[in-house]
Amino acid sequence: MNVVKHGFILMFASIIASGSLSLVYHQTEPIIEQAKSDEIKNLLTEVFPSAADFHLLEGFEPVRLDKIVKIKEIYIGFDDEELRKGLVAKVEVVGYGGPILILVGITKEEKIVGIKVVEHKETPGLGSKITGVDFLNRFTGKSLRDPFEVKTDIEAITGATKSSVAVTKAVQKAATLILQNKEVWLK
Amino acid sequence: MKNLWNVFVNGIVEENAVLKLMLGLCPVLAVSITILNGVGMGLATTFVLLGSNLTISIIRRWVPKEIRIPVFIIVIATFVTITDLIMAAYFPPLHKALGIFIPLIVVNCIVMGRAEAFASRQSTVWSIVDAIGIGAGFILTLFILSGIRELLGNGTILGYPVVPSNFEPALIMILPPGAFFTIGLMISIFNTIFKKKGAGGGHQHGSS
Repeated sequence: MNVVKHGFILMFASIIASGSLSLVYHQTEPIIEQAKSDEIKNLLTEVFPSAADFHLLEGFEPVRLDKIVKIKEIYIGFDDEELRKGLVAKVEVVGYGGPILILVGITKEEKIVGIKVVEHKETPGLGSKITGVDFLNRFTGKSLRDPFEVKTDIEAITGATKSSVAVTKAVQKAATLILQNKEVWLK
Repeated sequence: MKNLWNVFVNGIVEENAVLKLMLGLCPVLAVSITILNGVGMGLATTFVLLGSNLTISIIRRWVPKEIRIPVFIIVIATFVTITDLIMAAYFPPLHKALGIFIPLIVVNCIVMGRAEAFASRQSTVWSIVDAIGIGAGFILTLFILSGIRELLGNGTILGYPVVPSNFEPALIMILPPGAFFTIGLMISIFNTIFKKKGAGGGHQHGSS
């Protein structure tokens, strides 16, 4: 008899727990969704400040461009009059400590306006310097037709060559793909 | 003579969860890289502790001994999920920084330990005070530990640079070894200071 009684007590506890959880979930879900989309919007605006709105490029499947580089998403940036200003590419590259997620903002004029490292697992203090403006400013203002090679036109971070090469390679590969598709994506 | 104030202080000193009972060390070591993360983790755990202690002390009369552990786990898991959702909704950066360590509060021995050793035996008021005391001890420990690590490892306090520009931050302090060094020193210093108290009194609510 105890088994049945205990079972009922446990069931009762679970019902109350799941009831209160669903209540909290329904209260917080819209706020969490809002926070997530705000976060994406903020990141995109950071790398492409002149665009007013962003839309995910529909029908774009993630493409692997290299052993270590992969373009995951492309957002088209629009101005106030719904005209295309350029795009933001979300690129993933394998660095020294793991995948590095990078956002690159590119204008219609085929120039890089902004770049940001969103996620990385590089060594703190060394490879993690790829997130700093000192390093990322080496990319802004460059043309997509530039070589994007460490030593040629991008200076690597001292002690973090591998991380620097990874970011540079990601930009290089992404630039090539975007140039190939510029008639569709940038016009 | 044991009044509410003693219960509160007991949670900070004699039964300091991290420095005396050595519970919940994993999240403490992992998230104490910056003060914000450390104190955020402390507050989240305290909220869960408060909720679970309060609930368990209320329902303890109706929970048979044999199934108390599963019931406690349901209560704790519920509060952890609520904390997780609230943090994701209102403090997304902190939620992102603490990551997996928020859901992992479920298996934090401190919470289960207080439920089993205190809340399931004491009245509601005492259980609340106990939760606040243990929580305060936990937050204080995390504050000191993450403060030392952030200052020496990054040269900042709460994100603001406070050291002269010729100070080279000791990288090791924000890497895992720095956490072990600091917590080791803190435990030894803490236990040297509060040695007499511990040896004389003993633990009234031992939770081994």
